[in-house]
Amino acid sequence: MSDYTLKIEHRTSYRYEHQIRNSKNEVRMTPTATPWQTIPSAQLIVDPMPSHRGAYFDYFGTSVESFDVMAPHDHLDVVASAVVQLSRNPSERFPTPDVARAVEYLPPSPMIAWNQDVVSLASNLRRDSPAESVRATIDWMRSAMTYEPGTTEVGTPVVEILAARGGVCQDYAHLCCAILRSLEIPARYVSGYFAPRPLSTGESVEAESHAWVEALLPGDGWLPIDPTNDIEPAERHVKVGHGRDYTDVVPFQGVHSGESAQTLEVGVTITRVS
Amino acid sequence: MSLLDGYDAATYRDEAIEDDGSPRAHYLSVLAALERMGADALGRRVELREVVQRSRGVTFTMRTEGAETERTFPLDLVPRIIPASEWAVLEDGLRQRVRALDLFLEDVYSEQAILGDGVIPWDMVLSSPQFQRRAWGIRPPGGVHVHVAGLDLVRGDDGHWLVLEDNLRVPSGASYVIENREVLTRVLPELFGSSPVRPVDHYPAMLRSALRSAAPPSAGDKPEIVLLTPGAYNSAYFEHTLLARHMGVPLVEGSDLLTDGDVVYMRTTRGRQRVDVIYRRIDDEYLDPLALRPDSLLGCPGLLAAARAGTVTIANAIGNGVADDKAMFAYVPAMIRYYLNEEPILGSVPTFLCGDRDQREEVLKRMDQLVVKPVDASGGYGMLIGPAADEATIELFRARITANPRGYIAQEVVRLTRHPTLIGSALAPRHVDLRPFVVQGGDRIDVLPGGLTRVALREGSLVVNSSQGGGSKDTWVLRETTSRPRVETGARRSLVRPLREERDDTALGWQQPQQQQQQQQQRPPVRGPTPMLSRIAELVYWIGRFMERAEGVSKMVSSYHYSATQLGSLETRSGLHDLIAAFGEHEEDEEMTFRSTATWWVTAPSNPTSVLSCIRGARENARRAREVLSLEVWESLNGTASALEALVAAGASYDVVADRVPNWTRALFGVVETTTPRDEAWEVFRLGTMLERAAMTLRAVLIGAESVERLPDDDPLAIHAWTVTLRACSALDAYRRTSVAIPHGPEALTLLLQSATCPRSVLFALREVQSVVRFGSHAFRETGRARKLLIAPLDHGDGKIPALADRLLGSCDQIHAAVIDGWRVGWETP
Repeated sequence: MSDYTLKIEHRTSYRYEHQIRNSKNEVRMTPTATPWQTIPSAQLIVDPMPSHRGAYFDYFGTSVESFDVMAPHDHLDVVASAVVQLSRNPSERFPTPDVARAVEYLPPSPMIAWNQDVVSLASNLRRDSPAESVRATIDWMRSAMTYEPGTTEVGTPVVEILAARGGVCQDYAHLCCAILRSLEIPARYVSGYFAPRPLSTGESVEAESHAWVEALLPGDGWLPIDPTNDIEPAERHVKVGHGRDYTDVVPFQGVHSGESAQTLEVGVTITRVS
Repeated sequence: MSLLDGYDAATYRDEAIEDDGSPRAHYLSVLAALERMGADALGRRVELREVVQRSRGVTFTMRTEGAETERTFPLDLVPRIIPASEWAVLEDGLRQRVRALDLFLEDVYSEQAILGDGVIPWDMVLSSPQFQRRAWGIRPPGGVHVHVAGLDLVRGDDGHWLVLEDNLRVPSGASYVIENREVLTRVLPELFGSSPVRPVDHYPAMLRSALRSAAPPSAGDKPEIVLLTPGAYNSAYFEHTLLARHMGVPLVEGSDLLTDGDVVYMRTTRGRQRVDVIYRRIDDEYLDPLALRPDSLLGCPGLLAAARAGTVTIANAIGNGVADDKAMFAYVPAMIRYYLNEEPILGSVPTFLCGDRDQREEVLKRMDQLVVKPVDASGGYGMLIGPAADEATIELFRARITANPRGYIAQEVVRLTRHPTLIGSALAPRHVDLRPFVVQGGDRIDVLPGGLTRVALREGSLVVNSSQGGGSKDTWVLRETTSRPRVETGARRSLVRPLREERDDTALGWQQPQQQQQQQQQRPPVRGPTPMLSRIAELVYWIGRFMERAEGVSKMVSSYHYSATQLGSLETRSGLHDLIAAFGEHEEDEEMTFRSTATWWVTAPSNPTSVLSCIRGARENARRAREVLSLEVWESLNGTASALEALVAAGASYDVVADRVPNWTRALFGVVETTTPRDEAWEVFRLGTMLERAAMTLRAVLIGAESVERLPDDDPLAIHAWTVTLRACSALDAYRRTSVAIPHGPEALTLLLQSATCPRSVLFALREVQSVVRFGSHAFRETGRARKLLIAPLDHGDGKIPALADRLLGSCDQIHAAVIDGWRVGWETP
């Protein structure tokens, strides 16, 4: 798979019933360059025209774009688009130089806290090697968990996800991290995009924001795993960034002045360019 | 009989007394002075101290069982004394420690070399809840992270100073150092004089100078500095107001700030004003709801982005907590060696990290001998003092440590030194610590001589925190007397100094000759006046209105009371007419007699515009706007409010209160007149009083005019009505001096509405209003329109006067609205 290029378009539309102003926003929507992923071009289009824009890379290396719309407005349309070249061979490994820093992904984090239930589950999934424990964890999640949109929300804690045996990709990723961390395998949360099926050149598909996990395996570096789909992240996954949990890679964060009811529409389109 | 009879100086090391009971050399003169005064005189000084402290409003907020109470911070009258030679070593040690901690913070938020080199384990930082990943990439101007540090020091039996804690986030207490010196100087002047004590009142100047030198380059040479407070209900609010006032910088709340294009502005009466340095006294997580806690109402969205863009200095920097975490404490000596290649000058209290397996086992074995503290708490909350704890408490902590080892540390119990402290009428030994304050700018580190000595007032207690019933002491660092001989030769300098327009803060009492460089001698640049914060303008405006309304209502009630007394209608409904016309009816009054209605308008706490409520409102507003009020105004208003509360609590009737209040308010207006610079705050205050006065006079006129309708001017009832009206407006005497002695309708109305010289007239008040609102503004034009209505001779035709008064009252409302709106424009766009 030497020539595999995707174009991602991530559309976010807010409609406000009353005018709001002083809107300040930070988005983490632009894919990050990784050893297997290069980004020839990326842009963020905002309507209304922002009064100010900025960009920086955060602590986790994620590309952050910020913009303000100070003047009163009743809608906010954000289109993040990027061209991504993927060159990953699923069997390829990228040993990481920062093993010492991986302790970052061992302790509980703001949205990943676990209890004795998680610990007992994890100890049943412990195998002879970390790689096998990871495999066992994914297998368990695939068999025991049910993908159920609408049963959880953004802030649902890991222990409730485990008790409910269900949730969406974000919940799968959080629970998976909790299990691996309690097995002392560093595990980080990945935010990105996922194409629901393999694409042929020129084909487009309505896709979704997605979340999966990277586990650090001694000697092998960060291994991407997708507990929701059990597909090794390769040409259908595009990584935006990683963090300890969702709170470190929230796609869209904003505040504004003015009270108003609002509606939100989000859409992602993935097109295979070549 | 000596104050020291039976004093135990042997059980613990004593700061002032040798083991054998004789005073240490540097305490001789102070102890002698106290002995000379004797117990009785000291007792009277204790009372004086209470009065002084309360009138200055030296308070902190204390949390007990979920409730909050406002307390004065008890100042013990016996000062703590540190000899010059000892202080010199301490000062060097403090500088060294703060420099190393600052370098650590710069490193840990950029290169992370100390972690990469294995000097500090990665997980010490990466698992610290205080490591602010959102602050990554922010490079504070000048590389300064720790602008203000407060380090807690103790001394044990061997007399060596030991660091107990580093406070690098928002350390508080410096204002008490200043206040303690001020109060002790007033209460016990006899103690000073014999010992040359280094001053402490230059702390705000020192801090301002440091903040200025840490401003971003974009600020030029006139950086705008603000102090960001969580608000009037924060326990350290007193300190925030004191520092803001003494530094001459605005005290802002989060809602006063906004960011636009990565630049921070404050909302002022003249639109937005750029801010360069934010000395913030709110915790990291509340600073920016966009980047940190989204539910924070205390901060301002966009602050972190502005800091990242380098347009603003946030002091102290964000994320300092990773360095003063009580677990990181154990690594500070390693930091000093790593960054400075020096040996630590100050020792530190032996500390065990419960996160480390071996150390934890030791702790769990010795729980009854150690002090256990949560790593990220302060104020002495949630800690265990092993030797003083019962078995159940120890077990509780044992469980907590086992559940969250990284969350706790343990320290050896230090046998804290004791210090003579006035308990009752004798001196008794009490345990003390010391919190010195270190201030760092872009180019230097300064240490405030002394610091805050805290004393555990309860016998045997080792906990000195103010929140746990501790008190404090004035702390004296003695001057090196031998190196500074007094010059007695030649002509003596005049004691009368030439008057100076402005204080030169860099020349005040700095005592670091080795660092006193030429460029430090420059005068600070003279700044143009900064416009007021719009929020503060509204608060001050309402202080003016509240005070004037309290006086106006009192005068009206007194005057109608006089009338009702004469007419015998105090207990009936017939006397109600004037009062109801003036203020309107209210539902809670079932009696509906003059007395019940007047009581409602004077002393009812549930009536939001009663005299009592007005004075309370004025005091509350003053508390929140203290930094723009003179100390005298605050003390006077505070005193008035207390006196009124006492009077009402004693059950005084409405007429007594209404009789008393105008004397107090007039005194207050006098204090404002004589102590307030003629700046914007004064103008805004004046605006509030004058607009309120115009409205109060108009109400009285309306009532007077309606009650005499169709009566001939010389009718005794008409004369009575105008006498009452003039008295209600405090204008009866003015009338008698300018007109015929008997109040006569047309002349009374001319005086009350149109006089250019009587300060009670509507025209006079409106002219004053117009002189203090911005020329050409909407409020200015509204006031001009109202004044025009008063130019022509009055038309006394049927119903004309009430109609005019009514129309003018409407104008007052419009002026009010225009004034408030005028303070709210230009915030979001330049």
